[in-house]
Amino acid sequence: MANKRLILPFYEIFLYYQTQTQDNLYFLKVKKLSHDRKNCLECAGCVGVCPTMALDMFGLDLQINHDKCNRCGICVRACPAGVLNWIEKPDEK
Amino acid sequence: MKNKEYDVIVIGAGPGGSVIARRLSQYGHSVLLIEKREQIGFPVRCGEASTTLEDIESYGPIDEDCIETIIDGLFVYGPGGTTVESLKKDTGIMLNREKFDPCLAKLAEQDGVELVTNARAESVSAVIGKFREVSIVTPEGTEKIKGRMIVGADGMESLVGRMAGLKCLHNVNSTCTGVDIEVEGILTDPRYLTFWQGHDFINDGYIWSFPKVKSNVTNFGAGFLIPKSKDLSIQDITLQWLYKLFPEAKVNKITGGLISVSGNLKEYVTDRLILVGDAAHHTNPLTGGGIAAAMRAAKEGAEVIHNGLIKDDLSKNFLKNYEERCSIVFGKKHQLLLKFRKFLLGQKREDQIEFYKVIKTFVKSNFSYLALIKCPIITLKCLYRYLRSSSKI
Repeated sequence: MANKRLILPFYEIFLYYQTQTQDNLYFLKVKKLSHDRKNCLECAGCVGVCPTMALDMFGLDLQINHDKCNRCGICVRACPAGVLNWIEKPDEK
Repeated sequence: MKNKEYDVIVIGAGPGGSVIARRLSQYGHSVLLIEKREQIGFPVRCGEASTTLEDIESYGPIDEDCIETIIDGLFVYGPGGTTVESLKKDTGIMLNREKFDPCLAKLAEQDGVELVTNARAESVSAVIGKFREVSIVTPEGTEKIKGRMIVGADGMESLVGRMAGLKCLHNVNSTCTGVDIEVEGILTDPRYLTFWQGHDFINDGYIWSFPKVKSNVTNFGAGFLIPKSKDLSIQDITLQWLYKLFPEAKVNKITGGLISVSGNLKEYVTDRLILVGDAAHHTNPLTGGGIAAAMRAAKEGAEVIHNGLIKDDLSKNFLKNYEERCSIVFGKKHQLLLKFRKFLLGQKREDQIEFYKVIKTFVKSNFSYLALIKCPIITLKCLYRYLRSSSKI
């Protein structure tokens, strides 16, 4: 996972180093973004604010690229319906 | 898509995209307009209040159904019990975006624009010779279409600008998150737009109630700056407020969206590509309204692109014209409003109440500046603070 991050563009590397505090390292390992599809308003706002382009909307489904996500939490704060949340990450594949 | 090559490819069929596509087609260029949703204008992500009827009608013959109400004034419930009532004939209209957006797209189609829905722009290539290539994903498959000019009108979640290397990432501190709740029946005075601002928790934003008379519904919504931490979602806050004011309200549907209120982007053109509307942050930083600005930007953009296509010069330097025009038409006003918003939200509650009193006397006297002399001390205090805060920004 760490190797993948090295090829990201500059601002993403900056954001990556921002996440290097202990709390966030914990976040990277354990937390994962989840999306409650039932209550989603389908406004695609999270796609717009995501700094690493980890989110994308295909049709009306939200796709989350967990490898790109740097756990900055902006989408969680921004979501008008509060359908984006952190969950404990299940075991790695 | 019928052809493999177009003069202009417009991505996003909202008000901005449809207007620019229609105008360019009227100038005689071949235009492709793509929309990622299946149905244009659905789901609506808007409070639907907009500028004057005259302004909207200058963009083409619009169906009567699209216009819900003619608004004759504002009513603001400010902090500390101050209310501001501003009566002004024809200040704006309420639109029905579910009909308005398809109507504009239809007008564009009638004028020769090729409209493809359910088509997503997956990537935009760098300039190759005289073209940029857009790979478009449709249910039938992926196609690569060449366009001499690309227009990104894909709204708030614009990825086109980012793909082309423009710095259009949203600033979290100047982005609004909002919901719009459609409530059955008319809740507030049908002639007015009603706002609540500066109450308990409604500090960095406002709650609105916009009547839609023809459909007999009210748009009750809220827009706040993105909160620092998340306890309650804005949807819950707004619903709480709604049931507090109108306990018997019947909710039809809820839509949401984010609004960028950072003022226009510093740079939103590059070689053979421009951004229009929300994608270029063409929103009013005080109110969050963006329909009028998007359509106006589209009008200016169409003229600049038309000139560019004739001269065969679509370089960044030439397209800077578009930025300059937008800056003259509304950009400077937006900068001023941005300063004003930062000033208003930076004040303490007591100062905000005093400021509202000044506005009240100003509005009561029919917008004559002489009225400000009636409360000279507060006016001077506010003016001093405003100048001091705006020099900081």
